Amino acid sequence: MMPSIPGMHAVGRCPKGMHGSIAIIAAFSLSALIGMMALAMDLTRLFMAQSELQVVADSCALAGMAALPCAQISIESTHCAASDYGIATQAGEQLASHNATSGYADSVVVSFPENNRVACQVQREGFMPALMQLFGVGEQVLQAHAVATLWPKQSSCSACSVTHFPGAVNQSESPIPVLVQ
Amino acid sequence: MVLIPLLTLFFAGVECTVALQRVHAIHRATAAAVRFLSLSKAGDPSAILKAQCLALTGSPEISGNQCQGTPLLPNTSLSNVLVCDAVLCPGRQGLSVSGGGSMNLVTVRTQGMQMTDFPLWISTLLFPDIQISMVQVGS
Repeated sequence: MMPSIPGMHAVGRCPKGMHGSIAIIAAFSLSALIGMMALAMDLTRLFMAQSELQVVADSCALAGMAALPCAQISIESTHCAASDYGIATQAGEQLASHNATSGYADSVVVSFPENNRVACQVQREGFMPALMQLFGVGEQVLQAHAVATLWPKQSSCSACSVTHFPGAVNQSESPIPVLVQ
Repeated sequence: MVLIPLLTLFFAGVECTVALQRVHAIHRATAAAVRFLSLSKAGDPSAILKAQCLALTGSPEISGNQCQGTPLLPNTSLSNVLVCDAVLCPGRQGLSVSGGGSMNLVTVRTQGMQMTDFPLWISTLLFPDIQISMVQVGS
């Protein structure tokens, strides 16, 4: 038999008055861990949904720009008819709904900040976090915005994101729609 | 005893986040591929292969008839990336606008992507198909 040493206890025993303390620590650790997991997973989902919505906005703006009849005649055109805007709006909205499988949007607003620019604002309502609901986080509204313009043929573009190389030259035979925002 | 459920939860959370991030990477690559094709000529085999490689590996670099880069997901190939444009899928890739005629669309679809390298109890996870379309304006 081992001699008993003052201040030490046999394995598996807790000091008097400390019974259940491990369970409390475990409960706190578990809730902290679940909270962090919930935050990480929901933020990832939110980030993904936002990114998918951005693709919808980009494709909408590019389609609108490609369809704008007055811009096809002259890039610097300042005389776009109302019917031209109607056609571009229709094209942008159609493509946004075509890409619904990618990231659906509840509303699509096509606007024309300048004559040679098409902007698309898409919104998704009711994005519900999966696990953060447990911590009282409710529905979120996601928004994405894109602006497209025409890149003239045989010219350089410092702001265009088409190639991810600012200053690249458009080598194509015709002007192409590019994103500027 | 306490550590077992804690570690299980922790690793399950990590794996779920990794899976979500991989889906996101594939989505980004698919969007880049369709954007690439939107500026190319419909039916151009070289551009289609580069776009497929872009969706599969994240890079348009090709070597012969294969992609140079490493696939974003292990055990995936070019057959997982489908391209549809006015030449490959005639009659199905048009966007008609009243008063504005019609425009050609190009669609890239990644399908059958599976995550097979889970270290824990799940053997495979089938990712949802991703399909993105854009107007094809390449001359």
